[in-house]
Amino acid sequence: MWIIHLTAAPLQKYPAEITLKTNRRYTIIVLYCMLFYALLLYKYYNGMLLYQMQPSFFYTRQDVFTWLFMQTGLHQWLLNNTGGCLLFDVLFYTAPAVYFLHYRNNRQTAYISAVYMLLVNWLYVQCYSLYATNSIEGHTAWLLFPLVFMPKKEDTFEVLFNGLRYFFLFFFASAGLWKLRQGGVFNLSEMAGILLYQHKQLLVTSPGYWQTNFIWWLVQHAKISFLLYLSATIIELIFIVGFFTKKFDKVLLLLFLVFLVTDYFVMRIPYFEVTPLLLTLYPRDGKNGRGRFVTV
Amino acid sequence: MYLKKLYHTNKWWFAIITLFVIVQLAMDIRHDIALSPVYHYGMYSEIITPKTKYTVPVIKVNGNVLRTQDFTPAQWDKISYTVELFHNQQKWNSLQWNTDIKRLLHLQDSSKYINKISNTDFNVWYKGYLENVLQKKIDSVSVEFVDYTFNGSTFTKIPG
Repeated sequence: MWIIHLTAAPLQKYPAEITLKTNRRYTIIVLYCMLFYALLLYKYYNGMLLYQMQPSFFYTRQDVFTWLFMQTGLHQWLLNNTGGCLLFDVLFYTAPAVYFLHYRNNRQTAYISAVYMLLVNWLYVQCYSLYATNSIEGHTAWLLFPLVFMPKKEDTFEVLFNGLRYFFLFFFASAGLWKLRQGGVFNLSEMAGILLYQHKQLLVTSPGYWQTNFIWWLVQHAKISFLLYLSATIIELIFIVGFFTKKFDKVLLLLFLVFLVTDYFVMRIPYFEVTPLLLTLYPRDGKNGRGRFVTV
Repeated sequence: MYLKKLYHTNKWWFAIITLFVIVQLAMDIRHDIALSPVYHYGMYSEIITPKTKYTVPVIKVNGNVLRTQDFTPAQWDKISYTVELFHNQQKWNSLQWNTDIKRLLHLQDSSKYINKISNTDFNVWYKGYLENVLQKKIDSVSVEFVDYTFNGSTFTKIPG
């Protein structure tokens, strides 16, 4: 079992030795893996793994990095290539487990697995999001998290993890600010327009279905549906508070979950790939020194 | 201040994160082409008002219309969005190549950015794809882009 000595907290106040399991970084890694593999099950059920997608064409996005990446031809190699897609799935879905086991057994060299995970995630997400139904913005967590896992030192991990928290706050707050800048939040028929655009197929192919009736009701009551849009904007803007204090992180966590669930049921948008970023709002202080800076 | 703390902790990471912040802010100001992992997170921020006409892709399998209600959102995206993207990909990819990629990367060969798949290839592939999604044998698949008018409260199909 790993023994960790506290260095950044007063010895008389916190236990002199804590086990790996009370280390905040270890807790984050475990939770990250749990979310990752829960999403694996969700995607498998919905046929969203790469080998289940069987891509036959790609959709070039407006991204300079992606354009350079496309020079490798990997995105074309995977087209109509079930074996290649399966290989990519195996590499991507085993990487967190490899890192977890490596960190558990040898923390000093675990950065090697983190670099491996970073490389695999970037290759996978760059390709995966070029095929139908997958926006790369929703996969940012998989691109950034391995960076946080790379440092050997716990204090560097803590600072980077804190940076990821700021990114998550920005991710949400900027969506609210954009609604102010682009004017969506000043348009009373905004939500009705969004619902018609988003659900036109549901409205046409599924008459009488409860969700269809609900959407029609919202469209026909534009002012009420606008309140939903306004609420979402306010939720997004509330995330600005997180830049100044961590006192309300639990509230932000709850608000984000409300946003996710509402997005799923009202908009039929499964935005679950973002959930790992929720970990950055995970409470810092707990029993047995959890959340304190620790080094081996 | 966060960046100050980062600087004192690790100068390499400070440089990387600072660069990330600068690129993110620049992109948000310019509202321009992305540079992974820096993206624009708008989430329906532009003004969208109800239109008077909507074009809806209607997918029929063995003569029956596929209903959105019978699928989870992810499953439905897989079925439907694929058709819409294929419908647009040739025009979109060519536009990206001609307006930005060729110019900014000084490239001459467009083959990495434009699909070679034909409509016939897609139709054959999509039939097999749907068989896997629906887990049943399919005799016929048709995709029709149907126009509807919106009169403020409901859709009416435009004959045609």
